[in-house]
Amino acid sequence: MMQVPHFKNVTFIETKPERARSILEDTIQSLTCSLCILSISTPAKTIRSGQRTNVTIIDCTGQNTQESDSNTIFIKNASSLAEMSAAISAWLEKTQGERYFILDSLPTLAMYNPPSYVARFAHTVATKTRLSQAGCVFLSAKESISQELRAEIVQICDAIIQDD
Amino acid sequence: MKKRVLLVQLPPERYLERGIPYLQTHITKNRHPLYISFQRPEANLKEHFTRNNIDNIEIIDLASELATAPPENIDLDNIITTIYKASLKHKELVVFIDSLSTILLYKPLSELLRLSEVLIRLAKQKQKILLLLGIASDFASKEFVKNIALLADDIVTPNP
Repeated sequence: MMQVPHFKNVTFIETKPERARSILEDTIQSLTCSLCILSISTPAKTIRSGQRTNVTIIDCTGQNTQESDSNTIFIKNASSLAEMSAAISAWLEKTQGERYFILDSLPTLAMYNPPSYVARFAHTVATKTRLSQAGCVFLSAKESISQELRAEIVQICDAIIQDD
Repeated sequence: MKKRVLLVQLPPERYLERGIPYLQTHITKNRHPLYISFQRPEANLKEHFTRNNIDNIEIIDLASELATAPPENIDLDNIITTIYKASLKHKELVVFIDSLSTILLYKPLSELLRLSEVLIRLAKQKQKILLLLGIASDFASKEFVKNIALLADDIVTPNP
């Protein structure tokens, strides 16, 4: 099972594209604390499994017609970075103690947004989580984002995990 | 003539791991360290500095400001004023700018280039400021880095 470095770190996890889904599942399983998952391509109902109630999902797939509730926030457009940022800030404000934010994933976010916007968004989220004493995980498939975008993000991370 | 402006190219995966020990080599009894951070908030940086036994460093935390307020509220001229005032207070100063590419996420290229030019001029004129401009090595071929490198005294790539 994937072991995410200790609490309060900003971690970059790089996987083979075909392993991305199982790495997300491993990461969720290995972190038993409160989680907030920003999902760009996987609907909330697919991610949500079992009885865990301490998982908030920000679903940006645009496939849902449901209303947002306390544990699921639907954002219609994956290029609404300001809306995503506001939802993350709200989660950080309402939760306390050990918690992690997970971005699934950088390449899919980069499909909907220019690289400089994605870099700035990742940088802002990493700083906000650090200021709130929360952990942050960026998931990315190998060689699926530009070298510059990768460099901009990994330089602000405390740990880089390569899943081979 | 002493080198006053160094462009410090660091591997993105080991940015702080290499950057902090390199900065440490320039800190002396008479040379006060000032860290201008666009990348990380102060608390996170302090952990890294403590681990490297650097305890007298002054950190200007612009990362927190950028994450919580509109970038338009951040005036880059304040950095120049801060460095200038610090240079009056201390015999010598070593200033680390962390990092050029991160500034570019929030500010237009023209502002970054102007800031770099003014700081480089200040360091060369005052002769008591050592200016270290941090940049991830993956950006070495970018036009803005080349323009700034032309004004620097040297380009360094710290090794472990």
